[in-house]
Amino acid sequence: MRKSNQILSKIKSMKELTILSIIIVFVIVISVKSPVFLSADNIVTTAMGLSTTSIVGIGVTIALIGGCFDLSVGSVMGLASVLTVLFAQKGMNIWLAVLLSFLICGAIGTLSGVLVGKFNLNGFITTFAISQMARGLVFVLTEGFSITLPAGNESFRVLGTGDLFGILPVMIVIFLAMAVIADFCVRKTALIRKVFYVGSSEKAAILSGINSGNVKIFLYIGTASMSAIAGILSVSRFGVATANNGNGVDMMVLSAAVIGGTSLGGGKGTILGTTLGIVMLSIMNNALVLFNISVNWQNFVSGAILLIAIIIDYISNRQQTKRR
Amino acid sequence: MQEMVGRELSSFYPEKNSKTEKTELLRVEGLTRKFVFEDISFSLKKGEILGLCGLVGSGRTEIARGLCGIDKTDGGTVWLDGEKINIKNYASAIRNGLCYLTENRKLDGLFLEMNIVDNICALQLDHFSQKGIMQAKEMNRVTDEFKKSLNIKYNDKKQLVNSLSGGNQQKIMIAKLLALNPRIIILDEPTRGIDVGSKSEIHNVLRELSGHGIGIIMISSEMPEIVGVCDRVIIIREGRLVHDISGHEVTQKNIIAAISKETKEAKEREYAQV
Repeated sequence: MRKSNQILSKIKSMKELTILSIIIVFVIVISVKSPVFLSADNIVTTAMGLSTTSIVGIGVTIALIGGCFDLSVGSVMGLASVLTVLFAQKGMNIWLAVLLSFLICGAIGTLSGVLVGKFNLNGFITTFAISQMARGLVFVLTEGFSITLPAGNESFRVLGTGDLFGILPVMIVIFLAMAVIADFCVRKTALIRKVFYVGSSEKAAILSGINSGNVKIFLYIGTASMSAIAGILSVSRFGVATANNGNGVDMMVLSAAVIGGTSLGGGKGTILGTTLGIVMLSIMNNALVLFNISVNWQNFVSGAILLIAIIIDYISNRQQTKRR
Repeated sequence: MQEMVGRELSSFYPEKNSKTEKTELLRVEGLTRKFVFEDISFSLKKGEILGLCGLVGSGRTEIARGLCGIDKTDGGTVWLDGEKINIKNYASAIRNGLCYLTENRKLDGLFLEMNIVDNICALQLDHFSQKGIMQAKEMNRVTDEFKKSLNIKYNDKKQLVNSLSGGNQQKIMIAKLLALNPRIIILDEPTRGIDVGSKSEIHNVLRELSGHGIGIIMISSEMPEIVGVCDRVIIIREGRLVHDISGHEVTQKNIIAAISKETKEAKEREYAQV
């Protein structure tokens, strides 16, 4: 039994390598069938879309490590983009609009955090409810239409459209910087180590003097903040906020996290893993488009991959713990 | 016995402390939690191992948890080294050097899917960090020290704790508490379900710690262990402290008699009413 445990843990640690190799295989196969895939335009476009989703991924990954689910990330992202544009339309300075929008989303995160962390409500369902409310607000505020960012905010637009040295998009640089910092925090800081403890065994964490309620509040403020940043960056990129911005992001990020090795039971996860998962799913979606396969298949394929990832996660967890 | 363990167990239990010291380490008065336990008062002297006995369900674990602030209590005062302390929650108990070792290591004592270093350092994260960043070198060093001092058997300190035997898991929990440099440790069934050799090693460690001035309170249901290890025993029956036995009076017969006295009386009353 011990030996198979060792082999299984080796496989799990190779998970990131595995995904990377899957991605490479995908890329080769797809570019053979559709040369457009490797064109600079396509790569940059895919990468830009990846960046915002991956920023959300940072927040969700860390929350999952702590055993917390946040289904509201997509809606909060949408709300952040809508609020930013609306405030700017009302004449507010764009940076002030960004700040205010960020703070409001932070407040939503605090609400989720308190409900789950202090009142011990179920995170899954609670954030689902919050998600509905936020998306509802988005529709109320936009009446279903896209709203445009007023002109004259060029400095802000640089974030989403600018290039460093002419080739590297600012947005990707922002994401990479955040990812590197986040990865460092996950591996080395005491604060995030506490998140691991809470996710591994909340009861043992309490008996180790860790305030699990406060940790959870911190996690939900984190996911909301990341979602807000993603939403704001998408406004910078497109100059508009759509009512459907962020739709499906929650599920995609969750799937990517599981695929990338973040355990649904908590206590395990890496930023790199989730990001690779997002890359893989994005490439797949991109491939479907290039192969002229109906977009309707996207959901089915994403769902199938998620199911496989869940099953693999379940099997490897079952072998490692005797009783949960 | 020797064949089973493969090494000599010259005396089954460590030698007790025959000298009675006067210094009072811990004093508890009137500890109460409605419907669970009432008016628990006792003191713990330096160098003495105190046993907390009673039938399962009598409230021993609850008393320990209440004392350490893990559960809320409805009254009572605690003095540590003569100084009155206020224990609002477990974190404040830990800050005062008072800690609790759970009886259920798999449920709430260990982080089964985390490695040995993480488990041992769990209570002292802030102590091991500088400006929020964990100092791996220091954490590894402390882990190695405990491996030696508690004779914990493992190959790699990065291996997961669920790969260790029960006895070694128990030692890791003890190491976690010792990393705090505590003043008082309350252990709840510390040797339940572990091999004989580890049991004996843990008893020796407890006696050593007690000799160094650390207060040890042990909850146990194993008569031989209580009689062999504890200098004094307090008996809990249905949430009340009914007996305080010390020195030569600590015998299996006396303890069992004290624990089940009311049961026998209650049975006699029952028969009388029929």
